[in-house]
Amino acid sequence: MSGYVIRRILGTIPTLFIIVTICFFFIRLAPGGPFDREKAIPENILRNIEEKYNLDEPIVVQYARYVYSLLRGDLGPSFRYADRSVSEYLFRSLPNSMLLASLAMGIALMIGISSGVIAGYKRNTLYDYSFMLFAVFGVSVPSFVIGPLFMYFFSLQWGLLPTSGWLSGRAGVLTLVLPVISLALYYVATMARLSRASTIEVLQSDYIRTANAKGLSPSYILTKHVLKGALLPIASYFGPTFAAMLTGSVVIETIFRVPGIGVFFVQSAFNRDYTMIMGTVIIYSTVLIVMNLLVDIIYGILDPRISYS
Amino acid sequence: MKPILEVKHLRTQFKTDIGIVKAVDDVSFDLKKGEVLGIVGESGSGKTVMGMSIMGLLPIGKNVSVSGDVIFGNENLIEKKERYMRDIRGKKIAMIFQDPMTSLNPFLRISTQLIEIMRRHLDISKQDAKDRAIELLQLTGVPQPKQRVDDYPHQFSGGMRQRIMIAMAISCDPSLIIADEPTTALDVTIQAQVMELLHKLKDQLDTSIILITHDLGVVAGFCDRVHVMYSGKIVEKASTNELFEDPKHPYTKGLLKSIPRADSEIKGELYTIPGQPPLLVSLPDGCPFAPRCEFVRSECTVSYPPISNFSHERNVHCWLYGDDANE
Repeated sequence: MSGYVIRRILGTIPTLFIIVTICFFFIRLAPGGPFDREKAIPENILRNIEEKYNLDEPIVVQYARYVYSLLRGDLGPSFRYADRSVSEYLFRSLPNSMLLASLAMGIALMIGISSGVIAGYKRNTLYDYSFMLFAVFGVSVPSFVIGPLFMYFFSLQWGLLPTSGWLSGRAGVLTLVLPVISLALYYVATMARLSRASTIEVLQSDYIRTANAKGLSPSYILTKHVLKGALLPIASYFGPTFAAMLTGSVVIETIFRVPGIGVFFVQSAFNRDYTMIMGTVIIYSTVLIVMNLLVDIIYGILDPRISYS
Repeated sequence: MKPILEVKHLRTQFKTDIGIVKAVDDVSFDLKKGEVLGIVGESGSGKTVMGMSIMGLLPIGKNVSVSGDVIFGNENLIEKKERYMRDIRGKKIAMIFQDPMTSLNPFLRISTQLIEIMRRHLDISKQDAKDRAIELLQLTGVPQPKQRVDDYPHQFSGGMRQRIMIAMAISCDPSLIIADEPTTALDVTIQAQVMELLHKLKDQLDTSIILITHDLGVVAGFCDRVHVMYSGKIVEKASTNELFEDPKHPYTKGLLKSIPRADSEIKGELYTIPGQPPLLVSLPDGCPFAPRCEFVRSECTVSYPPISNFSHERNVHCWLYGDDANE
């Protein structure tokens, strides 16, 4: 197992290199550049700026220069924000997004899976119907509606929680509550629907009939015989989803003014901030690769038929 | 001697979109201690549902109903609550299923699956249960049981898995085993081995067995008596010898004719019963076999034939014998 993990981690290096290469050339194909403004910048000033960022060199040389600095762990200067480097921006905001995502995912796993499994087990009962109704609501109401609604009621109307202000002021941890819940709601709902469906599928399998024929109690069958099989689809959903959450949720972060990384994903593309785009892509790819590895490891733990060597 | 199982007028019906499916329709039979009863019929004749009904494994509710009596050890199982049935299942009545590839939980070790049933029904410590699990695997002919008891199902072949299923079924010393097509999913040589094992265990443990199968060859070597099922009804009851020597019902005759025989002189195509078994919704008033029967008469399509008794435990439902048999 550990040999497999090491090989997989080493395998990410060429993958990342290919992503970096493709991305580097592709973003330069998009029309416009980092210094295009509504009002044209005088030719000589533009040339000076381009010279400062080495944009006047042939693209292959720029690429070699970028890869070289990347190997030393430097993501380069931002083309848009002159005062700090890309690494500074990204690694300062990433932990905030990760905290938000982890708390939301924790809630989604706990509430989503348990309620989904119970709904699947108590299929077509009042519990099932009411919870699935809630799940449809959770899936279909977008976070830019949920967020302001929560803010309106919990903060403005009832004064229970702060509207925003990430971990600052007297409110402290309480500032986490609204963004985390607003983000989690959708994932609670999807997890619940997924685990309900997989529970129903497992319950219809031959080996559950065997377990029933052995006279085992329903609660024992549910925890010992159903759960593992029912969790497999959740594991495959978990990986890419958590990767996307960890790298920032633009809407929630904007609404609740969370100093997260999400905004850079959107803004860097608009700004044609080449190095910032590269930085976000590298971070997202790395997180995604790590999550996929994690999913494979979870699969290996859940399903004895899968073995890594 | 009092039979250990008496089934009286068992009816199992499913409500579906296209009508009520009478999967088991007024089935009655009994089973003596140590006896092996074969239930024979083609796919969809209601054999499996009958076994599930006796075990109380069907999700009885607004779409599934089971009625009649299943008398097992002075108790009518049909009237019993699910909680009571959980104490019966696995302990007094065990079941062996058709497909050993899917009937064992792929996520759990063999030892876990063997130990849990013993811990559920017997007052036994975990370690003792594990020792007994190894003994049971030994008894059912799983090689190297001590080394292999902690393996997962996918590490065993189909035949070995069925042996494990059998080990599980006999683990709590049941007085009745319902074996639902135990060899259907196995290849022929393995089939013979598994049947031989069941035979050996039956004598050792003195249990009764209901063997549900569509394979008359399996019946011949194993069962004391045979009931032939067609579209949810038992159409013929006989001892195994009588059935093979003198089949009465045209359906039974057809079944016997369609077995390939190694010593047969006749070359050419194997006999098949023409037509398809009827859908179990909206069955006609008459004999359900009438549309496929080569001896069909006018009364066959009018009403279901009454029972014709030939001797004790030898009877048939067929208009051909309506007049002479009861005289």
